[in-house]
Amino acid sequence: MEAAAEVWTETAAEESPTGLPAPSELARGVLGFVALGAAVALGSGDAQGAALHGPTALLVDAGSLVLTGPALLVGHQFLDLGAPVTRLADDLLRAFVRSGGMALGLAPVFLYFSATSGLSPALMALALPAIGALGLAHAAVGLVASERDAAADHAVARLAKMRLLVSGWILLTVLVGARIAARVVLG
Amino acid sequence: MIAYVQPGLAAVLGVAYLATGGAVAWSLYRKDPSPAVVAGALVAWPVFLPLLGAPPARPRLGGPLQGRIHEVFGALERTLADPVAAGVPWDADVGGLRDALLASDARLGLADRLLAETGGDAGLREARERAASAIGGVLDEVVQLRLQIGLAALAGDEGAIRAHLAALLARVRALDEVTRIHG
Amino acid sequence: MSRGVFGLAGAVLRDPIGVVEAHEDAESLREVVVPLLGIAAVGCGIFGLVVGGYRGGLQVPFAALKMPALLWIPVILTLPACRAFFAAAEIEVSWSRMTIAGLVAMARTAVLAAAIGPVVWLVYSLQPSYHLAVLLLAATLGLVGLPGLSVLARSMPTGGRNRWMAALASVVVLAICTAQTGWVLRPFVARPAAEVTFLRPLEEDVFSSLGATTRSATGDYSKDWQPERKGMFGGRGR
Repeated sequence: MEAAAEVWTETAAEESPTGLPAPSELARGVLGFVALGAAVALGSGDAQGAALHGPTALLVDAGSLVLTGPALLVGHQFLDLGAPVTRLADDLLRAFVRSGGMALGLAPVFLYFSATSGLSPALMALALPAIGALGLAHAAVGLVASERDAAADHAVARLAKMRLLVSGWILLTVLVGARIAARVVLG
Repeated sequence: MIAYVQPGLAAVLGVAYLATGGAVAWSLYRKDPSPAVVAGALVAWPVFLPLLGAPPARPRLGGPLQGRIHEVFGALERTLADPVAAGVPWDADVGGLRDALLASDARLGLADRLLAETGGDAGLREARERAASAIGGVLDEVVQLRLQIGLAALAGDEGAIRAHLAALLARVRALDEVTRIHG
Repeated sequence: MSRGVFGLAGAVLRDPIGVVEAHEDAESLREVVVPLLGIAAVGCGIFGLVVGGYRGGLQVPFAALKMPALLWIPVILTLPACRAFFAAAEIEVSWSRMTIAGLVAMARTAVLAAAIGPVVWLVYSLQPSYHLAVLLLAATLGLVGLPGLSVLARSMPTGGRNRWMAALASVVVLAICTAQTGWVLRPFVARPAAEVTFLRPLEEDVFSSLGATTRSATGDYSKDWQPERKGMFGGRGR
C-alpha cells in the first residue's frame, strides 16, 4: 500500500504541467477541419451532400483521436512506461493542432475547387488521409521522444515497448478513422 | 440550394472580395496615404495583409543613393553571413558604416529637396556633387571589400580587411562632418 | 521610380533570395509590394499579348488581361497551404516572409515569361496547329514557372524536419491550382476559327479535359466527352 502511494506520489510529481496547447491553438485546429469541411460542402451540389461532407473532416480526424487517445494513455500506464501522461497528451493535442493548421491552410484551395469544379470531394478523399497521416507521424515522433526523455534507465527496453505501443495505437487510429469515414460517407 | 445560386453567389463573393479590399486599403491609408499602396490593396489585398500590423510608414528621409547603399550592404552582409567568413566580429563595423552612409545620403536628399524648391546656389550644388561623388566612391570601395573577403577566405588576411573597413569608416565620418557643415 | 522598378526586376532575376531577405519585415515589404505586383502584371500582360496573338483581334487584350490572374490566383490560394506545409515540417515562416516569397516568385516568373515572349511569337507566327500552340503555351509556362517555384522553396528558412516533403507538397498544390486556373480562365490560345470570348463556361475540370485530350491524341474515341457544368460558379445542377 505504501509502495503504491509512493508510486502515485512519484507519478503525480512527474506529471507537472508541461504546457499543453492553449485553447486558442486547439480552437484553431478545430476551425481548420471545420473550414475544410465547409469548403468541400459548398461544392457538394446539394444540401444532402453538404450535410454529408461538412463535418467529415472534423469527425474523422478529431473523432479517431478522441476515441483512441485514452487507449494509448491507458496502455502506456499499463506497460509501466516513464513519460508523464500530460506530456503524452501534449504530444497528441499538438499533432491535432498541426493537422488542423494544415486543414486550415488547404481550405482556400478546396473552396476554389468547389467554386470552379466538382473535384473537391474527391480531393478531400485524398487530402484527409494525408493530413491524418501527417498528424499520426507527428504524434508518433513526439510520443517516442517523450518516452526517450523520461527513460534514462532501461532505455532500450522501454523504447521498444513504447514503439510497439505507438505502432498499435497508429493502427487502431487508422482503423477507427476509416470506420468513421465509411460510416459518415456510406451512412 | 447551392446549385441554383451561382450567379448571385459569384456577385456576393466578388463584392465581399472588393469590400475586404476596401477595408484593408482604408486601414493602410490611415498609416500610409500612398495612392499606390491604397490602390494595390484594393485589388490585391491578400498580399497587403502583413502590412496591417506594421508601424506607420516613416516619412521618406532617405537620399538619392539610399537604394544603392542597401543593395551594396545587403550583398556584403550576405557574404559575411557565409560560414567561411564567420568568426570575425565586424558586424558592428559594417552596421556603423552603413548608418553613417545613410545619414550622409539623407543630407544629400535634403540638399536635393532644397535645390528643387529654391533653385539653390552654386555653392550648395557644388557641395552636393562632391558629397554624392564621395558616397559613390565609398560604395565602390565596399564592393571591393566584398572581393577582399573572398580573398581572405582563401589566403587568410583578415587584418587587411579590418584595416580597410576602419579606413572606410573614417572616410565616411569625415564626409559626414563635411555634409553636416554644408547641409 | 521607373529606375527603381527596373532595378528591382533585375534583383528579382539575379538574387531573388536576397530580395526576399531584404524585405521580409512588414515595413520594408511595404516598399516593394506594389512594384513587385506591377512587375508581375506587366510581365504577364506582355506574355498574354503574345499568346493572344495566335488568334489575334480581341483575343490579344483578353489574354493580356487574364494572364496576370493565371499567376495571381494560384499563388494567393496556396500561400496559406504552403505555410501550413512548412509548419508541419517544423519550419515556422512569418506571413510577411511568405508573402514576399510569393511575390518575388510571381515577379520572377512574369519577367521570364515576358522575356521568352519573342520565342513564342516566333513559333506562333509559323501558324502551328491549335493543339501544338496550346502545348507550347503549357511548356513555356512550365519552363518559366520552375525558377519561380524554386524561389518559393529556397526562400523558406533552413532547419526543420522533412523539409523536402513540405517543398514538394507546396509545388504539387501550386501546380494543381495553376492548372485548374488555366482551365477556368481559358481560352488563352483561341482556335483561329472560334468565336472570341473572354471566358468560357465552367465545365468539368482540368484533369477531365486532359484525360479527354489524351484519349483523342491516342486515337481513342470510344468515350464521347460531354462536359457538364460544374462548381458553384458553373451552373451545376441546372
